[in-house]
Amino acid sequence: MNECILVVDDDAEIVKAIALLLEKEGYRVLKAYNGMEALELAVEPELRLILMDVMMPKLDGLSAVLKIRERRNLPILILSAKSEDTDKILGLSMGADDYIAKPFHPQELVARVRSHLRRYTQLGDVNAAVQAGEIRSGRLCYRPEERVLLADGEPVRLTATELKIVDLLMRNVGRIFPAEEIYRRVWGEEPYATENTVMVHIRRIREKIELNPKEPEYLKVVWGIGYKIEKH
Amino acid sequence: MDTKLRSIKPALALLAFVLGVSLLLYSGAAWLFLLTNTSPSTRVSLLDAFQADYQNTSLFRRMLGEDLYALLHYATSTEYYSSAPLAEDDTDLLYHVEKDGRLLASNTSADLSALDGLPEGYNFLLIFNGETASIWKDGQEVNVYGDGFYRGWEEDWYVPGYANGSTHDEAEYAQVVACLAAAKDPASSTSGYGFYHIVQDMSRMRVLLIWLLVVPPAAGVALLVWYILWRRYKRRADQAIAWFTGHIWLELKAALLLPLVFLWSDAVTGCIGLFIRLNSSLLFWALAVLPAFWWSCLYLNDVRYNFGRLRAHSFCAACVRLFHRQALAWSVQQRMDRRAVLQFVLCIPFFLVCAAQIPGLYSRRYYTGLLPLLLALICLGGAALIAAQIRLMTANRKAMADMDRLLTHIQAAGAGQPVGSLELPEGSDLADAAASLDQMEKGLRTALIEQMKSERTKIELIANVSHDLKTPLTSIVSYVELLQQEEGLPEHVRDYIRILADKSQRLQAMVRDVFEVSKAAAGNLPVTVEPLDYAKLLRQTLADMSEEIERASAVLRPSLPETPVWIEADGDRLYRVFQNLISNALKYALDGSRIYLDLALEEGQAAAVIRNISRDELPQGVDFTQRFVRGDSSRTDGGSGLGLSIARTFTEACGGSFSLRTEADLFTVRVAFPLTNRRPAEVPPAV
Repeated sequence: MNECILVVDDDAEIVKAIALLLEKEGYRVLKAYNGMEALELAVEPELRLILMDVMMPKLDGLSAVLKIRERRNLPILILSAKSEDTDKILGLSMGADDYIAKPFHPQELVARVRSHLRRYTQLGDVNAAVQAGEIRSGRLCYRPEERVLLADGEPVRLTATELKIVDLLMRNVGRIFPAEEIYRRVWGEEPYATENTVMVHIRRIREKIELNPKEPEYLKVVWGIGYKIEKH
Repeated sequence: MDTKLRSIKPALALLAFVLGVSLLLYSGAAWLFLLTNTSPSTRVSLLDAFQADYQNTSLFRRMLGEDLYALLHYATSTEYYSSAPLAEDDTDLLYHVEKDGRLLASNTSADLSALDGLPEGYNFLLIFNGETASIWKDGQEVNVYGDGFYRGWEEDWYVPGYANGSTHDEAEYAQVVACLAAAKDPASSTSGYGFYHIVQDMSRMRVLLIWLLVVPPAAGVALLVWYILWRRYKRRADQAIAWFTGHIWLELKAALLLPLVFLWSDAVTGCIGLFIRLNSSLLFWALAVLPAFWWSCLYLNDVRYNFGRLRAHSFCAACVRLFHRQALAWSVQQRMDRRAVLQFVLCIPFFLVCAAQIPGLYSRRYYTGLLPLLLALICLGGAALIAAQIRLMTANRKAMADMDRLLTHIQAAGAGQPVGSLELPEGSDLADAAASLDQMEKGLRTALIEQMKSERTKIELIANVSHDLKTPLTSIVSYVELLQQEEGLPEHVRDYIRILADKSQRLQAMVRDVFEVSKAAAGNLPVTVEPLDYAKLLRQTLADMSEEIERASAVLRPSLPETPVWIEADGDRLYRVFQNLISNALKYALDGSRIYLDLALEEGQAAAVIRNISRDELPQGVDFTQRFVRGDSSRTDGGSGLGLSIARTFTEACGGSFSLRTEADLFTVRVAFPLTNRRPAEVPPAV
């Protein structure tokens, strides 16, 4: 069954481009060009996800999100040219699930849509029954017993060293680790000129778990201190 | 040792100057005194003291003359002499006197009446034959009378027989023959003052003169030469003294001038008096010359170095300063009020003096007729004056109260507090000023509101422009992506698409940069300042950029300390700063050259310095941190031209200092942050 996605933007070309990108991935796309149309189309029972622009005529995106949230519990992703932190916080507090700044990278957009859909549709049941000992942070889920990292429910293929790093960081979500400490605990050797070594592995892990490795959301560098996995 | 010497040198130079001048002054005075003073109280005169032979001294001539007259008186006296006319035991002076061929007195057995009879050891013989005296010295006859006139014992022999002598007395001596012989080297110390004492006095006088007249001036000159060699040290001593005297109040100095004047008048009177006649009390006064001189020098020195500050260092000035300092704590009203009171108080002594005259007026009888009228006038005038003063003061007080309100108002407005319009009482002196102030304030407020509005508009404009840029960019990026996914396109079309993708990426980066720089320029850049390790941040940045660094043709040579360097900054922003700086350096460095990245600690600061040799010639006099400025003006290479601008604005937003220097083709960027004592929060131990 093809999942149905509603794309809302007052710029018809953008709607078309997004629709094309998503259809290539095998999704069914509904199109709306302002908030009112979005509200009308949001009753569609097949609908699984909404991509919503903010600045639109008739009814703006944030108001539309508020209205839709009253009736439906599905992932809503905001697309906006405003990239301020305050705009993001405002959008998320209105009930949106994610915030994608324009101009976005098409691949990243598709990846995010896929990620949210997976969590919404497939992991919905799993969410209800959280496995014992599981550590969750947003899209990531780590099972220490099995030593498996899941991103959107999919196991991530990690090398032994990468797994050790993920193990350390996921067990201490939010705690900052200096490169020396990571090196000592993962390699088990006295650290010497460790920054490059650790950074190389961090970059590789990012490629595997982040939607946009250039702007990581989970595995972050705390500049001048160390590394951490963000708590989401 | 060296510093000790340095501090002692000025003191020595000063001492040399003071001693030298004092000695010269003293010896000059002594010379003048001794040369001009011919008083007989000194037995051996200045000129006599340096005679080789005591018989050539004028003292000898006088003594010899007195001895001769003693013999003549003895011979011609009608009274009876119980003792010998001259000392009988004096072997330095042999005598022999006879009258009418009869020996009257002698202290020698030798025959002195002829030159041949002179005993051994005696070289001087005087024979008076009743009329004239003949003298032989060392066998030679001496010309006794000269031109025949007597001018005084200093020049002539004090003997009878001169043309201007007393003939009456000399007639009595006609029957007398007197002979006197003097020893060549007197050795007898008789009870009286003999020739031996002349010799003694001469040598004593010589010693005295040398110590008084030769040694002091010589020492004085030597000391002055020393001073001239060390005069720059003496100047330092002068300055030190001037520094000291500069702290004395001017009034005290003026008061001390009075004794100085007395001292000088004493000194001058003493000196003039000494030239006229010798007197021990005058000598005492003349001694005042030296203190007076040095006292005056002290004044001159003070004036020379402290001239501009003399007025400031006075009791009056100190009082005024104290008043001013006190006045700073008062409000304007209090200040002016107290000034007026002071003015009034200063007049009171004058009134009191006037009042004190009234009893005096009563005591003079001849005023009595006019007195009541006069008194009435004075009292009336005084009362009117006081009343006028009080009235004026009250009026001023009112004006001052208004002024106080006006000033408070101005201060409040200056501090940016919202103030309404100022209401002053009707007819106030300051009503116009208050009205102008109100107008000014209104204008200012309007201007401020307009400025804020325009500031807001500017930020909105930036946001709008960035939105307007981002929307089409989104389409471009999306369709380029779709094109890239298209299959079966010819290779050259694929190539075009690659270029489109590349440029749209760059455009995206540029829009982001422009937006951030504009925000920073408008002061709207949010920063989260946290303590972080500067060295670690640089190492992380290098690690993060390792691929880019390896690809570059230049070699990066970092030199970072292993120990943490704690500063406070926004880590994400600072990472952007160094990302920009390093990629700039990699992009523009000469192929194969080295880029140096150093982190140095200096005086509470940590400074990261990046140095590279530019590939292209650097234009001189260009501020590279200006927006859109690049090394080459053609702009054909990549980059938004905002890298350095972003680096600078971000550094400054984080509280650091950013500086850039070009020297020939060497490009140096320095990013410095103050060190901090803050540390990141402790983290719980890891599981």
